Amino acid sequence: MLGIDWKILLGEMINFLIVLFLLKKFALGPFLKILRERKQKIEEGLERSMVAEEKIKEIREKREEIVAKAQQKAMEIFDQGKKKGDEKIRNSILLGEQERLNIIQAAKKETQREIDKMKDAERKREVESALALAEKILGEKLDSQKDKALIDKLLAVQK
Amino acid sequence: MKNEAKIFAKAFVAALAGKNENGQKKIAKNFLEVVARKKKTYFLPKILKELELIEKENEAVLVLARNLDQRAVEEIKENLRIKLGKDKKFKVEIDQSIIGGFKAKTNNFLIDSSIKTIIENIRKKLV
Repeated sequence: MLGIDWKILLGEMINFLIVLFLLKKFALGPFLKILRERKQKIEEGLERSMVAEEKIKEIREKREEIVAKAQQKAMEIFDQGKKKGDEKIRNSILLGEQERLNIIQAAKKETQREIDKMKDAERKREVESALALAEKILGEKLDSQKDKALIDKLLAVQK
Repeated sequence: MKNEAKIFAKAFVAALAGKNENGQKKIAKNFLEVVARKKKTYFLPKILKELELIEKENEAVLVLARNLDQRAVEEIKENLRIKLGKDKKFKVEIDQSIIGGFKAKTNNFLIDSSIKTIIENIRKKLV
């Protein structure tokens, strides 16, 4: 019937089953084991990658935080520096003002000294002139009689 | 010894004071006789030296600005002798630069009452 040799078919079937058994026993088992292992490795890799991503994210956030803090600190330092700078400028201006006042004061004193010196010199010149004039007049006006009278008075004072 | 010569010299000068020329000659003669009698003739050079010193001590200079008449000069000298010593012998010098007044100088004393010095003292006080 239909040209099928049932014996051959049966033999082929038995052969197939034997091959199937052998395949299952010696090839399919290790293959599936390898697949399971690979799958596990992939899953572990994925997990690690997720953890790493988490960590990267965390690090990035921390970095941003640090950068923000650093920027804030920098701003604070800048502000402080600016304040100090402003203060220094203010102090410099005040000092400059004080110095200017001191210079003016010193100049005033020096001028007064010069004026006093000039006045003194003028007074001395006047005294010198007066005494020179007195000498001249006395030299011209004193005659023998007046000189004798003067000498008598001077001798009287000597007593 | 030196003091003895000085004593002789001073006694001699004192004896001469107020005597005229004849009187002075007489005194000098007597003095020499006394020295000889006391056998002190070897003292005579020292006595002469002492007399020279006394002479120098009694020398004085009166500086005036102009010539005054003799009587006026003598009056001034007399006045000065009262102050400087009765034995002072004044030599008169004229120095117009003193302007007026007088200066009297001995070997150890000076009276400066010249107008020049008076003005100078005023100048020192004022200038």
